[in-house]
Amino acid sequence: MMLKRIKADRWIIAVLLLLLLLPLPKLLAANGLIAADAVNWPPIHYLKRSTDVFVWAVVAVSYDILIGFTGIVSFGHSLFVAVGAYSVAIAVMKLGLSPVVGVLAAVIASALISVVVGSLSLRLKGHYFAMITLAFAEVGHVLALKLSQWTGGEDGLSVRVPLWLANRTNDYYLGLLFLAVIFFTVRRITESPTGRVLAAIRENEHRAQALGYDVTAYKVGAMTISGVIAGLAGVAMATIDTQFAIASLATSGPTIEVLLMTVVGGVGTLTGPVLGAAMIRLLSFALPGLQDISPLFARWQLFLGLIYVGTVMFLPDGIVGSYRTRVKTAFQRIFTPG
Amino acid sequence: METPHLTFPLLVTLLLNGVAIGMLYFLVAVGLSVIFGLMHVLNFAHGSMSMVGAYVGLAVFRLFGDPATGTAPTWAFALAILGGAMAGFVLGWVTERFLIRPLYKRPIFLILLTLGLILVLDETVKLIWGTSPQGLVIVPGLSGTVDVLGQPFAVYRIFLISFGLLMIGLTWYVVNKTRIGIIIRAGVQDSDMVQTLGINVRQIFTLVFAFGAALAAMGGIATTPFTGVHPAMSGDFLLKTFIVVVIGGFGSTTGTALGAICLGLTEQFLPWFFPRFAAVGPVVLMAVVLLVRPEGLFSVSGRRAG
Repeated sequence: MMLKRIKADRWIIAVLLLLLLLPLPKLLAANGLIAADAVNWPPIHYLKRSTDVFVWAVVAVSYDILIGFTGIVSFGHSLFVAVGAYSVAIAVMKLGLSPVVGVLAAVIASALISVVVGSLSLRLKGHYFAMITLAFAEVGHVLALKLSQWTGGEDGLSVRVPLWLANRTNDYYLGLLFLAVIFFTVRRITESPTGRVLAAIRENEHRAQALGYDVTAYKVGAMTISGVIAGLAGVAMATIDTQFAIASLATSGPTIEVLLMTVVGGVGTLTGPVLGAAMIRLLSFALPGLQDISPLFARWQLFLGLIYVGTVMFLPDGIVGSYRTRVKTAFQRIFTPG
Repeated sequence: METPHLTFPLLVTLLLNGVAIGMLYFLVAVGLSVIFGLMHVLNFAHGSMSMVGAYVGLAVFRLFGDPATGTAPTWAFALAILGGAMAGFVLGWVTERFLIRPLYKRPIFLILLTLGLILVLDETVKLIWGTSPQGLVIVPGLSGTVDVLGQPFAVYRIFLISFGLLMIGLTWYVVNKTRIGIIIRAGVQDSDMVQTLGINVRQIFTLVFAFGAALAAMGGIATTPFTGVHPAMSGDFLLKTFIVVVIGGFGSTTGTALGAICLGLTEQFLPWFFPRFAAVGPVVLMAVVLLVRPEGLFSVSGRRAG
């Protein structure tokens, strides 16, 4: 069993090892184990961008719990990212508390808000649910702008982190650890009996209800797990990534980007959203740099839109989803008699 | 801050302003409402289509005069509205026919598709016209004010109210008194049944989508003398459209008209009485209506009226 799992995961393990080993000299240098000035590879921006990818990959994985494993499309998901980011920012910058207290506050706040938002909005189905989550996110956005003595209003809140967190190498490893822990935890959840019930709800809600499952309770549960993970990603954003909490995090823009990551990678695959997050974040770093070639690249989001439409029309299972189906059908073709 | 005394003439002005803004919201929202009622497609790109209409309208206006000084004949504005509407019509037609149609069986992917369209349309607009806001001054024939109970009231708002009423009347007539209209209403009830009766309901889908986008585009260009043309329009329009349609009930043109006027009035009166809640008020209203009465405030016993 264990061996089979490791074999199935060989790609994930290989990528993890590579990501672990790449900046190892820097880690040693950062913590004074070897001479710091001897190491200038990989460059800082590699570490910075990778950390950013890790954090957004966590958001995408948390979104996949909703869209891929429970079958609900929320437009307010990044609200929880904002809640997490602001919780830690306010705790540290406004109340002078330690970041650890901030993390606890973020977990509690995002859990509470996702239970409230979930139990109110999950009574509605489909499009109505999508719209009410949009409304909640907009309320969150306006509150973040208006309560400026706490949130810094339009300017947002910059977080001054402890010295060891201001180090990009440490941030990189923390981000990687964070993503790995969340990824395997979420996978464990989706493969658990609870995860099977969620999948049953996704496939046929009425049938799950008829079998005696409290569908709404399970959905609220899924939304809470997903909301807390997104909140933690918000904490990560405010501490190891941008070190900033800003109101626009709560708008539909970031949610739409996360949706894109999930869809491009493959809904309900978990590895897909991680891959999607890497692709979309790296594209959004790289494309604006191509402006010298063509002014078209100043509007690089156009390409994200085209990828979006293209994926939906021609590759609805996403990259990982399509890959899995292809491998499966190839397998069947070889081993089917006749 | 002390709230100024609300006199009767001021009340009338606020009321008229609310109705005038409501007319704009009706134009933008009615297409989304009927499209959702008929084909269960929530078109997130509806606001973007409205914005494209506004930009095309501005471009048409530029052919005849300078939008910043308004040195253009009144009919240039009429042509701008027409041009914007035509752009909206074509955009809606192409979108339904080539992008939406293959996906009717997968509702989640329809949402994703229209989200992707937001990015494509908004970024294309920025690519062509840039990101800075562009003004459009009211043309001579529609500028100036008239006296309403001793208060000045903009002629353009009177134009908006009459134009809006005309469009409400037209859509009401088409939906309730014509053959196309009865097919649309039947389709809102049960589109498979309409298809079974030998009517090509797909063609009606395309037509409704195109006309919905055209009306939204008209709304877009008609807003520009207030707000100018800017890339953030699409998001603003989308949220307002959702609020209107949720209040009025999906699929109903009369509901949309009432919902639009309701939103227009709320936006005018809320800052007077509760200035602190002015920004979130409409969104909260939408959330409350969704929770308490998701079929909309103006629908009869939960059924969607024509």
